[in-house]
Amino acid sequence: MLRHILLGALIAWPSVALALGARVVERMCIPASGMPLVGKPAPMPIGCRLRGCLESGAFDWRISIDAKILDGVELRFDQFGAADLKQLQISGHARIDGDRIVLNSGDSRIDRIPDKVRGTVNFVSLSPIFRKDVPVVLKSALSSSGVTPGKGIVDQITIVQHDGLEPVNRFEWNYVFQPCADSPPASGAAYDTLRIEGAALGEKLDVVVMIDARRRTPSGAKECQQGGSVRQDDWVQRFTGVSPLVIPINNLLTSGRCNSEIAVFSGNHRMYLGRAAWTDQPGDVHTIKLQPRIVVPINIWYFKDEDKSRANDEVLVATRLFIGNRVGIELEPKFHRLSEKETEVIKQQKCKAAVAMKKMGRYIVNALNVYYVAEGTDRNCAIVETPGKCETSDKHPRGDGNFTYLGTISAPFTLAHELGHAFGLRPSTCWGHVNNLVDAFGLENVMYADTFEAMLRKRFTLGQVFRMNTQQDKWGGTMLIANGLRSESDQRACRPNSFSKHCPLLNTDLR
Amino acid sequence: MTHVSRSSLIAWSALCVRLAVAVLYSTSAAGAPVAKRETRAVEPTHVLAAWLACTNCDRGELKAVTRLGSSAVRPLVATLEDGLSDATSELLRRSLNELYDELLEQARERPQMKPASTREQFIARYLVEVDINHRTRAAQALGAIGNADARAALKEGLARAHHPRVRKAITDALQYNR
Repeated sequence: MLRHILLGALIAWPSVALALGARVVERMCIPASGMPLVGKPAPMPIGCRLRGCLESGAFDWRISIDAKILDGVELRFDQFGAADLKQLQISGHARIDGDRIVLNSGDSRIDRIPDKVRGTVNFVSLSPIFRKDVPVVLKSALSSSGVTPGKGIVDQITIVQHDGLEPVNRFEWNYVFQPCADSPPASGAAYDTLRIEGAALGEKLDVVVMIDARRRTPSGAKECQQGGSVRQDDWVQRFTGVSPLVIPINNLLTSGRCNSEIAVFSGNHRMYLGRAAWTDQPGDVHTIKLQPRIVVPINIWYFKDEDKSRANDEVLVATRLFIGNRVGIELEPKFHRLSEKETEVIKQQKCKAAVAMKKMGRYIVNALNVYYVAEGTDRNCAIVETPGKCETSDKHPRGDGNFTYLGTISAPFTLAHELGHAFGLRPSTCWGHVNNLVDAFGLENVMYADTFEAMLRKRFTLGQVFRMNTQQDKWGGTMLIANGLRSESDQRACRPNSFSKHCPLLNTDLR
Repeated sequence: MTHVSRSSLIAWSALCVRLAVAVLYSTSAAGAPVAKRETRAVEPTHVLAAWLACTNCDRGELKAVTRLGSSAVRPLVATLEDGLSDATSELLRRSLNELYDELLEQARERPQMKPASTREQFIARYLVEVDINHRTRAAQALGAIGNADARAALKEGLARAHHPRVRKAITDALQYNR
């Protein structure tokens, strides 16, 4: 009996809509049969994004839904019952259904929504609604759109709140749908086996497996499934159960010219990366033993006690993000007090202060050093000066990836963001920052930069996590390898904006 | 109440004229993010919010606000006086509250990973900071616009502002367009 549960769906991360005018991207895979699992609904406040709009107290929503896969979305008000909903003016492709409003594809309006109820800001939660035949719909959409199977179809939902004629707040979601990787082989079919072991028998495992291999297509042809071309993505699937996970997979073939590798991502274990030798015959068993998470020493340097407190909390937030996104690491902080004079050196010299800090013995070699200086901006100093363009970034000299300074308080995930750079998500102009990568990334991603409003960025994609564990570049690569926490044999030159058979797409992801 | 001219009120209300934007990037049909030109309409609220919320602010955010001219004065004055809107403030508060819950959950599994701050301190740390940033940015933008309404609002704002960073931003803004 199989001892694992195949989760044939991508679970959307609780999608708190912190968009505040920007786009949030949710990726979901649709299983061949059954429904996808959906995360928590996305809450939106009713009201102006900024002070100074007319604030008449009632807002008109103009909603545009471009749905190829979804049946629509539902809206539920925190403080509105069915009777309250009847007071609203609804038109277009919207209708009241009990205590919710259902919106189908097309344009709709909901008018006169009060921004407050009994003095409290009124919130609405949005959830997607799936058709019962969603796998068929997705297959049809993929074939009719000309998009290569394995890639995504995007459904877009835009809600603009108006005060009279004026747009005063906007929320956008892009739901990106793709088929889940193939299901377990049918009983009696020829298959190989992947066996994944944790530290102890019976340990609970929750892993995402990425496999590059040579496979037989349904038509009988042999092809590489390895990413790196518009024809194929990496094969990615999530499995949960107790150790050992015994996973039957459709028969994989001798590698030929294909890449033959397996990566396993787990919140509780370090990322596994290794080669696999399959034969053309079924019955191969490949065993992987997962190792515990990497404990990453991080030296926090601070002057004021309040900065120590802030740093402690931000280390916890970063650790939560690293575990939740299967980076396979946890941070172990050590706190050191700086003098005011030393803090001033960093404020003045910024990345160049690394030299002075080393001379003064205020720097621990081969470890992350983060300086909370409470003024100015934040930087990881792997590259001395931020390249203005990706194309010319190679001309920029190497700095010190272990040297990071954080300035004025901004958002709780700022440390995690800067450590993303320390772990190789760089240069920012080569998609180390993911701003403006429409349909691929939104404000939900930790590496989205340059706005401190989105307080709950929660995601690193698997494409980012892979690079954080393996990056090799002229600026020192990931500090996990540079500091001896991972093997040099794992190194990959995978700039964020590149992809190849050795480098998954940056937006490859599965929850 | 800060004096704001009728003309700026009208101008702000009339700003449904959308601004052409932007070179954005998009994903290809294959799912790989690739560069793509796209034209998209952006409301004045977006332009203002981009400036109020940016951290590096190296994409011409302030210049875009000054292009809005007197129509931007009213919301900027309101931001200088009152900070975040209720809707934005509540959304951030809710988000921070949820994050703190997650940290407590993490601490239950690993007792050594306990937040150093109380829930109230944690939320206030970030929420107050965003609020101050909005106010200082509003002051800077008013200074850059520099018309009579903007200057009057800054002078009134100086008399009311308590936080030293906001006061400094107002003082600098008044110097800027002297």
